[in-house]
Amino acid sequence: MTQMEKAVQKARELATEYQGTLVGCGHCSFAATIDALRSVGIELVDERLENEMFKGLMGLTGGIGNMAYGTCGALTGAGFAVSLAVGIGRKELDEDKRNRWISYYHVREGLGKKWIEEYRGLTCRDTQIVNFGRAWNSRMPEMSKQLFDAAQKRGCRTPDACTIADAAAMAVETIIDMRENPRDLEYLKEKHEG
Amino acid sequence: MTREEKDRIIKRAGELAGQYVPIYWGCGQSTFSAIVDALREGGIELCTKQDEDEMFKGLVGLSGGYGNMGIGNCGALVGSSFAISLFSGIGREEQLRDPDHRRIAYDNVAGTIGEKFLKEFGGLTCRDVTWKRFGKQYDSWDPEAKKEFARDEEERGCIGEEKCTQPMAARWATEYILELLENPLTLEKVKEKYGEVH
Repeated sequence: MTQMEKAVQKARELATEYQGTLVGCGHCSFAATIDALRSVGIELVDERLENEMFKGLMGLTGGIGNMAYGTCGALTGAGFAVSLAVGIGRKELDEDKRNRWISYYHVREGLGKKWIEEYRGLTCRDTQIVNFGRAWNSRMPEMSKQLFDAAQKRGCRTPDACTIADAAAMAVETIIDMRENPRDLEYLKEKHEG
Repeated sequence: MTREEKDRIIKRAGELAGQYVPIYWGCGQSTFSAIVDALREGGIELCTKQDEDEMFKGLVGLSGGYGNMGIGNCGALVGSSFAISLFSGIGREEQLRDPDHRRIAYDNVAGTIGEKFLKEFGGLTCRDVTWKRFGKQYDSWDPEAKKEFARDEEERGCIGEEKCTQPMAARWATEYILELLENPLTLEKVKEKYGEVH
């Protein structure tokens, strides 16, 4: 198995495991991505900082605080990990504010566009509709329970069928690919007409 | 904390967001840093400066409705929600002890900035916000549309601490965090509301 294949498989396994123990799409897709990369020797952040980021991402789960109107939490956690790996911070933006497009590019190409192909949108509700033919308002306890039951019934708690695992796998692929084939601002300018 | 002290921190969050937007040019990271920095100045440390800089890097790509795609969460909402969730402080340890802890972070975010965005803009995405504020939606990956977006922002005086969405969101989120600091949502309250759902 290549490093990429090992990391992707690990991300899928961890995402599924975490959904059972840590529960919630945003923080679980993020943690699975970071931990899978660590398992193949790629350390984006240490465990302490990962846990702080986990705390910040938790509230973005379920389309923002489980409201479902916002971006799918699995996609959010994965996108955060990709952006973190790109590494555009204050210093890089001070140097050239257009550097932000490098993060945008990788999040869009590696995750956003693929999500649209699969789910016809980026929101939690878009994702649920394709997966289940319906979407639930998880802020209502009974609806939350129905969603969990439907996920169980659909076999979502397996590495190959779990949406959180899909997002983590995509993030791992994107991150390893960008490390092997870095795309800088010049590349983006050429590709997107300046 | 007195009302005056709170108001000073809230105002400062708006000022900082207004300053950060033209420098860091991205709604997620600018809003988040403005909130964290204003609270820090007021004596409330959500995270260290070093950790903040790393979190900033993760938020850049979520700006502009997810990689500037427009159809995901408004970046100002993302930065605000991330700060509120970070304040909620639910990590792995708490989740492993009892997974219902997550509902504290969820409700802290949904019940404050989430509901506020729905009320003000009729939705949570970047395009929901521009539709309401500008009467338009833009594809920021289309160079012409991107220029037009920038021109519209300029003409409407949106780059500044008063009218711009980021300073507004930063002020709202900072105020919510100060309120939550005084009236924290607890696991008991969450269980009372949701029951033993997991």
